[in-house]
Amino acid sequence: MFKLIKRNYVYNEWFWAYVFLAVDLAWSTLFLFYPMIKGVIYSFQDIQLQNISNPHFIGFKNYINVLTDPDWWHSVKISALYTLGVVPMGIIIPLTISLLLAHFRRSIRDFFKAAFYLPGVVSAVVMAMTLKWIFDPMAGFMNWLFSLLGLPTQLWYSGTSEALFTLILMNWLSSHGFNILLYSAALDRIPKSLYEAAEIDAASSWRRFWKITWPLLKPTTLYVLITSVIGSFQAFGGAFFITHGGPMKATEFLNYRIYVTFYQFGQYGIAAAMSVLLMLMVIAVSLLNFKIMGSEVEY
Amino acid sequence: MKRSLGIVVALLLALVIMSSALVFASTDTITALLPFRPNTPFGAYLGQVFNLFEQTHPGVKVKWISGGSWGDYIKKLGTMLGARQGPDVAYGNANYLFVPGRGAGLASADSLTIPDKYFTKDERLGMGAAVIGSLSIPGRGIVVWPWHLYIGGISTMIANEDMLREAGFDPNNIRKNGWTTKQFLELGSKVVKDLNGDGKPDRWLFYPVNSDHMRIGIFPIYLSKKRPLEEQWTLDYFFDTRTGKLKDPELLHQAFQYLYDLVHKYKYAPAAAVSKSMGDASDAFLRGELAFVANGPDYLSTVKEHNRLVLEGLRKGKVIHAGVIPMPYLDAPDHEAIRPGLAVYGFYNFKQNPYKGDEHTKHVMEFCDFITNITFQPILAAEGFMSPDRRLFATRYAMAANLYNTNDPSIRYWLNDMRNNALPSFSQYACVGFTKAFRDAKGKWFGDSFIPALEGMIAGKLSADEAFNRVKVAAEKLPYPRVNKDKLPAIIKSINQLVEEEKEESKMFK
Amino acid sequence: MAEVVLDKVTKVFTTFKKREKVNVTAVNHLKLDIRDGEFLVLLGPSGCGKTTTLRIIAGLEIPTEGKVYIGNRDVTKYPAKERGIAMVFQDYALYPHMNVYENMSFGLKNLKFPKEEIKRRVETAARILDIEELFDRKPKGLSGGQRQRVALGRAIVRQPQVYLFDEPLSNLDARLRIQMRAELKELHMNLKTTSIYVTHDQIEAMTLGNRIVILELGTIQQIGTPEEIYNKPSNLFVANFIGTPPMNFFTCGVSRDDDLKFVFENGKKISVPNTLKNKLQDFMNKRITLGIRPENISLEKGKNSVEASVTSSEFLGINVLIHFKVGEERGTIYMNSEKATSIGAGSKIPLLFDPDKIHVFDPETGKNIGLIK
Repeated sequence: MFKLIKRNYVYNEWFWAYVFLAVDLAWSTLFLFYPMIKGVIYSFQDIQLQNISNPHFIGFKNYINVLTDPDWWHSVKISALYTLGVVPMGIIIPLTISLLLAHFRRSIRDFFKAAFYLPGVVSAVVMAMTLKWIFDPMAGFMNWLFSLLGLPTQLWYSGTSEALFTLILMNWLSSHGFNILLYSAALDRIPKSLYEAAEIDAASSWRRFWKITWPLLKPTTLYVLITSVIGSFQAFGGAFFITHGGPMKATEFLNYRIYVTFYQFGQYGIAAAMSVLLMLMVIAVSLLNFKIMGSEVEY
Repeated sequence: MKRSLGIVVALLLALVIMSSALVFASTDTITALLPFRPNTPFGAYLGQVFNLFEQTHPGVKVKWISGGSWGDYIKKLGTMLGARQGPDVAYGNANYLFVPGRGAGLASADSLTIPDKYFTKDERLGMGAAVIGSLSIPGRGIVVWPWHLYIGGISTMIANEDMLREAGFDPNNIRKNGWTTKQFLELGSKVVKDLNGDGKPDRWLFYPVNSDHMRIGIFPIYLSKKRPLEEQWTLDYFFDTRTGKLKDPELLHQAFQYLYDLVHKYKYAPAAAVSKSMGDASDAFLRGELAFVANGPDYLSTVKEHNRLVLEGLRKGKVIHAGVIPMPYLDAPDHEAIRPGLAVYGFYNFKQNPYKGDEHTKHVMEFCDFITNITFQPILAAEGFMSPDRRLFATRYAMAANLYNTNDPSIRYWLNDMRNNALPSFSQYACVGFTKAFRDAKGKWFGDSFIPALEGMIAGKLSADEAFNRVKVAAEKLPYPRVNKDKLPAIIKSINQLVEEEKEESKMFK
Repeated sequence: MAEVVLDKVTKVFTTFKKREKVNVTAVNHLKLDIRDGEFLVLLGPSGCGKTTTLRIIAGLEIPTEGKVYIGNRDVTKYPAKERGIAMVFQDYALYPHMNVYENMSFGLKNLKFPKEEIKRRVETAARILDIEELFDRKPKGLSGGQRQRVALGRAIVRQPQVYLFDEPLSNLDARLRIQMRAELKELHMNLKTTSIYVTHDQIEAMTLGNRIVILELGTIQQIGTPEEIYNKPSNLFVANFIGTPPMNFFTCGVSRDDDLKFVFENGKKISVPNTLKNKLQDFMNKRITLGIRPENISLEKGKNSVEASVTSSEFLGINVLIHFKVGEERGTIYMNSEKATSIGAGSKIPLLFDPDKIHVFDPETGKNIGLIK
């Protein structure tokens, strides 16, 4: 057997390909697939802190429980509003900045790209704390600025009607670095001659953007759209670090609700059902995006 | 053929890698999850005790997992339990073990049984109420002796005593005689100030953050009402454990109005702080911006550390003289001064099965015996682990069962007093055993209706009446908490038996 | 249709190298008159400024100095779209997300032409180029030649006054290039529109151009018909650049024995042709560079033949290209392959230069002494 292997396989690249793939497969089985499947199993079980030793299958009861809970739908609404608030700006802002940057020479462009990306490198906690200070309703920078300009100071994340918008605003201010890199790289990939051809073809700069740049950026936009929809549907940090889901549940995102259900209420089965529902929602929205955007994309 | 052999080899390799990752070391290790850090004085002391145990028990190792903050610790414990990887020994009081979060509920009465056979009478007496509390978690039958006293944060708060004195209040007098909500408001009028002259106050009574708004704004009204002893001991502030209805809706309404007035009428607490965290409130307290923070007594050590840093010039700020102060009571005929309660904390064993004579469980029991050995208790006292404050506030609400053997006459006196007064409350445990359905619904009511309504009210979105109505309407929808009637007599019987034994025992001290 | 005039056009690019500002002059005081309906080729090695010149005409670059006129209009400051030009790019620059029809109609749509007119023009152009079948395809699904046609079609539909071609055939394989070259020529003969064509391929230049402009370092080296460029190179650069294999050059002295003679490095003397005798008076006892194309050398022994030794030979089919050395200077000639069988490395051969085809250059200025008046 050994001889056989030695003669035929040790120097065979297929053999080594399988070996390396096996390591990866074992890794993802252990740490990704197993917990995922376990989560789906939990979602059909009555399992909670108080009877952790005795879980049993209860069919779709957890799902019915979640879907008939008005608070779940409240969280769906909050997450959807957040997504609607965050995603368009998550495309418009990085695209605008990238388009502006494209006019500068390389060193300046690289400096700004690094500067915009920096917040992404900083730990999420530091970022959240910084934003929390900026929007602090009592001693924050924004309110200082507002009072300096003679505007009425705001409650920001402490107001029931303002909190969600404040979190959206924080996202607008802070989380575009990676998308700027993506868009800048995509813009660099568009051949300059296309713009020159369009210029000779008498296209106005407006039309050049909509007829050349925008369609050619579609794969990038689709990627950004899907990742940011997924990201904002799974938003958690702002609620966790800054608002704790409040005030008055104004920022209780789906993921935060799952977290509370799991860790604070100890209802593991219901939390698992919520996670599965969230996963289905994200998949559905992503597929929808693919359908709408993907049809015309040239890869 | 060649390729399929490659696949087989690769899959075998994957199996080997996976199984080796799942293999655990087979030496006997006792895991202890404790909220203390090894680099604190008490942590160092525990470390020495653990070392001693390892030396006297060759072949057994103690693995000490230290939790960070109390919240982290509880979360870690919940996660470990959730993963069915509970530690052998953990530290905490019974309530936390039931529900590690904002849904304060207790275990189902269905499972409330006492496995006498595992404990001697003395042990059960020593364990006191915590035994019953922890026993009500099914499958977790073993508990070891509680021995750490702690003032319940619900009835007290931490005060900046400098501010109190400045306003003409004597903290010691308040501790002795209590104080009224009227006095609290009077204090507010003197403490809340605009110091830098920008037209906005920068010193407040407290921040209405989660838990502080509950403790300072709601509980004083609720807790100060005179009630029969058994009702006081139900450990449920809002619900009648027999009917599942709101216990005292009028009082709760009054409490909402009180909190509303504090924030919006008198403006002694900033509405804008509603979304801040307890950590923010504690920081503001250290900056001298708050008169009160609803932290536990362990926060005093943080203040002490702050003062040390300030004195040594390592931190900017002022030295703060802080102390534990009872909540103010409602100035009404049927209300009385609130006496701080004392909670009992202990080391609990979480193994899923009761002791069946296996080696590991035996080791764990030995370990628990060892660390709670009576000979260590004076050391604990000498190490300053039990501060004089804590003894000062011990009342009839508290228990510290196994400490009664100590030779210190003063401790013996008040411990004895506690035992006499507190033990009858055992009977109430049967009453807090809600059905699981009710407990779940109640937890959700608290997290989804009560806290959001309070936050809405503080944020100015709801009036006190509206907030209260929301809470009330939601409470009315809770299912009827039907306790398993068949089991109840047996439970009550065994508890009463325990109480009787306890009474007999206490006669020895008279 | 229009004339294009470049009046002293200069273009200086500023770049940064290691944070130092560096000025590069791409086009230097260029004066050029392009006649109406002419097919003018800008030829030169890469970096000679030919593409920049074309882009200045297109309006994609603004000249640092000088003026550009198209059809007697000063268009120096005009944007590309107002110049009445159409351009075919080296990489075709087809819009990858549009199909062929959209690619071709994009410019007309921008100019707000009526739909029927657009359709008519696109279909006409497509018929000319034989790409009617491809309307629904995207550029990705086209072959190189088809893309080239679409790019041409896009230019044709605009019906411009001037066509600009920026090395349009360089991305095609050799066979397709020859075919497209012929088609371009035919197209120009049909449309008779002024065309300016940039290439570095001298064969394209020779076959396509009515006139050729040879550029080097941003300045014009020579303007002329292909024949003029080939037979009367104005300087060493042009002589060297045009022709494959290139012209042979020998360094010679000029001396007078009984008659005016070129003196080779190896001491061999040959007579100076009569046409050059006057012009060479000033170069007596000076060094000149003698140039002669390989096809103008015959292998005959005579009074004026020079002896060379063969270094190697390349079989090319009918002909054999023979590499030789005269002294230390290398050169090439063509020979009929049947006759060349006996010639191998090391053989000595006599070279007889056709006296009418000898060019003489001043090695210092590079100028063709024979063309100086």
